[in-house]
Amino acid sequence: MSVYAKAYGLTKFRKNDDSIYKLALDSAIDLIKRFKINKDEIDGIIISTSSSEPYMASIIAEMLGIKPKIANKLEQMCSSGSSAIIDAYSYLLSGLCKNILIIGVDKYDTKANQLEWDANRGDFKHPAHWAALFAKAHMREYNTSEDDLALVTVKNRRYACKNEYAYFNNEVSIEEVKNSRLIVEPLRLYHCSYPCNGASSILLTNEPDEKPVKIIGIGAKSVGASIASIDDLRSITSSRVAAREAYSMASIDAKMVDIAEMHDAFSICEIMLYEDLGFVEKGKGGVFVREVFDEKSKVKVNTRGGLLGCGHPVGASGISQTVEIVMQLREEAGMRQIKDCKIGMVHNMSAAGTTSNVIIMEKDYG
Amino acid sequence: MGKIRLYICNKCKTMSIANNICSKCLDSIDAIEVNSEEVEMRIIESSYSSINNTRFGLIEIRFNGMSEKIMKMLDTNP
Ligand SMILES: [Zn+2]
Repeated sequence: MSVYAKAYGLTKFRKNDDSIYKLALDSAIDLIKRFKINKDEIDGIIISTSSSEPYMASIIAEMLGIKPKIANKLEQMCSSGSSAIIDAYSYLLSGLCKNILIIGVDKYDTKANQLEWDANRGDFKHPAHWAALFAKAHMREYNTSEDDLALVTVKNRRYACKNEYAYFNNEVSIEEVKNSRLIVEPLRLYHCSYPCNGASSILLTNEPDEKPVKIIGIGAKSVGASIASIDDLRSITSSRVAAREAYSMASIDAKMVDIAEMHDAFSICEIMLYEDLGFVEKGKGGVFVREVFDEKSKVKVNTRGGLLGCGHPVGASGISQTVEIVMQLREEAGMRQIKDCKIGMVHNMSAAGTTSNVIIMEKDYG
Repeated sequence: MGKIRLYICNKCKTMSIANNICSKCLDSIDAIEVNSEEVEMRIIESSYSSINNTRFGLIEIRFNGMSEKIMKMLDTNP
């Protein structure tokens, strides 16, 4: 048995007073209508969110008129979305469920925007603090420049202009990034993903349809929760481990990946991930970003616009990233369609990269 | 910098800032307070935060051969 993506639903990421239920329903209804899904066939529903609302999965199932076997909510900070997909994968592969609807949803003011639970962070609970330390360590060790960092934002904002669901629909220049407001040195406003409202949905199944996109590899690793569990600021260890596992399960290596969604919560993350996911050797991420920017690299990165261009509704981001890979592999990505992609990767992580998930998908037709 | 509160396991000497259960032995442990002068500190990386309006760093603290990492405000003069 295998697990395939069957359908997806999206909402425009924005900042308004919509309730978390409205957001979740909007994306699920988009999925059901867009792909003419028979609701009676949905036997699992998982809500990926950092919201503390109780009993959300059953409430949303009832609102959608679905009576599933499994109804769960999953919270794992910014990697909730990919964690929910991994859970659904297990339910499907075990035969416990046949069609699982996963809805990622969050509001701009979620508690997950601050790392309040980590006493080791002292008064520095905003995620920009860890990211800035990563950036400083990487810049010192490998001569990564401010321009390298800025280029990540410029690229992802450029892609976001081709994505009607992205929060940002305007391009920025390297100079604008470098002149934006200082947040935590060396990171400026445009180096940081933006907390917003958002929801996205995906339906996974264990029966292929006419355009099957198959999950062929999964890797996951959690090295801890606190900043104390980070052993090297220049590398995202959990991502390295998760990628290695995912490649091994899929029997591929990084060279075979055509398209990747990387968790660019901050510009420095994408540069480090080029290295830690195995696309270039350690220290070469700052050079590689130019190839990625010019689309000269085999792998195309964050064509959705990334977290930097789309905004970052915590529990929705991992689902949106996965949907982008599915759209690209099914040639349904419209203006931002990358030609001839066969193998795609989703990388999604939490809290200074203490947890990482990697999912590899393959176009299984044509 | 005054006193620092640390949890140190009597059995295996695992040190933690916040965890009152030793992650190795799984025994509960009591906090002790040590003067910051008794603790060796090494700045792993530092930066300036516009959010908190201060320099700060990731610091490795060493005490009796044990080590732990914390983020801490630093003096304004590097
Ligand atoms: Zn112990």
